[in-house]
Amino acid sequence: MLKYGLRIKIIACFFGLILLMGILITAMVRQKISTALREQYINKGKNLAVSINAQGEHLILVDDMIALQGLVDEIKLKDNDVSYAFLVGNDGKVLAHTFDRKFPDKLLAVCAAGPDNNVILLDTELGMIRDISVPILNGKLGITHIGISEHGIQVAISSVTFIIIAIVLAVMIAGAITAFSIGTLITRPLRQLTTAAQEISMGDFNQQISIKSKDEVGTLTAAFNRMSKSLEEQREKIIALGNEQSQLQAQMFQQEKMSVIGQLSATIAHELNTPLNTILLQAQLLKEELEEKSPKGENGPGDIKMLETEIARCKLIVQNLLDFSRQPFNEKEPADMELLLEKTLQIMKNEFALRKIIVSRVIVNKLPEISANVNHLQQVFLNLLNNAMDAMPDGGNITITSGYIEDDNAIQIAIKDTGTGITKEDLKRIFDYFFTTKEPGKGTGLGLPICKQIVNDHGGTIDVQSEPDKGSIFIIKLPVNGERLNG
Amino acid sequence: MRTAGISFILALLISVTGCGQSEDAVKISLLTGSGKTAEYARTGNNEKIRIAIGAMISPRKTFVLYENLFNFIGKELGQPIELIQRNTYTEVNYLLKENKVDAAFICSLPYVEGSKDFGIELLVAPVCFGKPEYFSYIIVHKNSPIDSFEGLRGKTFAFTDTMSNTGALFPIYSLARMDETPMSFFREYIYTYSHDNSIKSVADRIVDGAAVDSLIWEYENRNNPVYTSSTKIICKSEPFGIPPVVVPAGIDPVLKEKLKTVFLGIHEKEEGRKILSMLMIDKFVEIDDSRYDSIRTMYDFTASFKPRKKQ
Repeated sequence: MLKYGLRIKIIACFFGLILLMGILITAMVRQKISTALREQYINKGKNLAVSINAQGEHLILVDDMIALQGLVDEIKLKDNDVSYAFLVGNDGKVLAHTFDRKFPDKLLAVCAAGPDNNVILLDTELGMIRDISVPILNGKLGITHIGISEHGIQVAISSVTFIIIAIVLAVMIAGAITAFSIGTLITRPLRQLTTAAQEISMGDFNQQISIKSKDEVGTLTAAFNRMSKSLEEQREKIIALGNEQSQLQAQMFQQEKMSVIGQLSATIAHELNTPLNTILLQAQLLKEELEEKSPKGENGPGDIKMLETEIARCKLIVQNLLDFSRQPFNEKEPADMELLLEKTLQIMKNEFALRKIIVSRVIVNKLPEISANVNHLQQVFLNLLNNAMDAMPDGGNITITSGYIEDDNAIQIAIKDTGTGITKEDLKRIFDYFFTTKEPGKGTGLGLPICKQIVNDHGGTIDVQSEPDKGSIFIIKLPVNGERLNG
Repeated sequence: MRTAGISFILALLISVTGCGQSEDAVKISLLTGSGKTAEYARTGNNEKIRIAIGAMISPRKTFVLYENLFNFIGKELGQPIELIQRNTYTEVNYLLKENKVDAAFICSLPYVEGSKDFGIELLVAPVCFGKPEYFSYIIVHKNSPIDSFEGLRGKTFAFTDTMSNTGALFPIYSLARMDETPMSFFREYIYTYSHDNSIKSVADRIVDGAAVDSLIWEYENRNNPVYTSSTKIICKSEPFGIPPVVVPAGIDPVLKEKLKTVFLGIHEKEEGRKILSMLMIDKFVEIDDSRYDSIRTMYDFTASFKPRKKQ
């Protein structure tokens, strides 16, 4: 995911550091040891040369070259580090040497032309050799040369280097393990943070990481937790604000819609009122005419009377429409809801019988009088009962339960049916204007919205609980003192 | 920035690791040579005047002491001098006999022998403490109870060279006079081949007594009394002719004259005087052969001596 993770970087740093230190230490120790060993070997060579001189100068002085040859041979034989030994007289001629017969002439030239210091490094077929020269009797008798092989030094340096490299490797492995552990330790909370931050970017704001340390990482985690919490709170506020706004919008839309409906209703009602009056007047005239023609007439006047009643009902509906458009409805008076329910049921008695519907009344306790517009509330009851009947085309039961709820100082009337029920989607919209599930021509989509409007006008609430094929229950709550109920 | 850092580290590493190899080695083959064996360079050089010194003191001391004198003589002669030393008087006498040296500082007894056997001639002789004479000292450790030569009977003794006058002939002669030989008189005796070795042997109590050259004992006692201070003289011989400078029998007379002139004139020059004073030599003088007669007497007596008493 990341090109170079923190852990890799830490390990790389450790590795690099140890490697660097290792190289530096190896180089320095090598140098120190080689310097020390070289000095030691040079000293050894000098001491050997001095010891040759101690006896050699006597042998030179008495011209005992055979003994001198024996002396250098012995020195070479005794010490493996001695590659060669030879003595040069003060006239520049070789007095004795340990080379097998042939003396390398160039060596003499190199030593003679060498630098002032008495040690010269030679690169020979026998390896690196350090030629150490010590003058015999202050140089008056000549110079003794000892060739000390560097082989011993190189072997010692190699073994020391090997040991150091082994140690460095061991330290590197230990370092890698340590770096891996430290890396894991440091990056674990960081990885948690990364995961949490990704969750936040996906929209899940409520991310809390447990804080285990009190260091910088711990501080960072704490800050992250605070940020996450604050984000979540902000979001909740925004959602709440949005809800409120959308509610307000819905309310405004509702009011606007109501206003249009009101105007429309007023116009229609007004327009209908005139022809209805005319029809009613004509019906009354027709009735009087029929009464005059057959004073104790058979069926005529009765049928006309029914016509007259229905026209009156039409006028009432028109009146209701006018009333509806003329909001708010202020004409309230103390009313007995039980009585109103009884009246309503009485009106619908024939209809119930016709549709094979059995109505049950459950009175939990006596309802107090409430301030209400009786006509409007009857319209609500009629509407709900009609809906219940429509939901039960093959008949069923309607149960009307009423009671006083002391805690809310309100009355509650529940109308339950055993009908087809309402789907979850429809349930959300049943109080919307012009929403209907009934066949075209049967429902206006105004029934339940008007019911809700009326109940709201009384400061009450209307709720519905329903499931498909399990029937529905509409619950109306109305305040006793006219104060608006919550919910 | 990063590149700079890496370069710095690399430079550091190179400098650190490179230090050891900074030394330049001279490439050379040790297996190919001229085929020459070691040249014993110090023989057969004809350009130098070869002067030998008998081993009165150790070759190293001799070299150090006589170097300046030889350089001076070489300068006076206009020819470099080569100093020749041998372990024993016999070897030096052999060089004289074979004409392998041009001159030699030898002990008095080798002169007596050499003049008799192969005709070596006196060139000059040094004058020390005013006279061309010297003595044989019989010395013992300074804490030793022995106070006479006789007291050394049954003790250990150090001679110098068999051909030394003071270090051998005189004590042997003295013993012969007592009808004794070293073998009969001493429990054990050794030859040290130089007077300073003999002094050291007594000082270190390696031997109970020794016979040494008076000139050397006095010289050491004056300049470096480390060993002489631990010894004491219990017997002093009669004076003998001082160890001379001799030339072989067949020497070029011109060279002999040249050499003699140089030797006799050393003390006349400031530098020469200085060198001579360091050697505790006043000057070089011509010396008569008769001064060595006493040694000849001792030599003859000793050579023919047969102890009468049973060994």
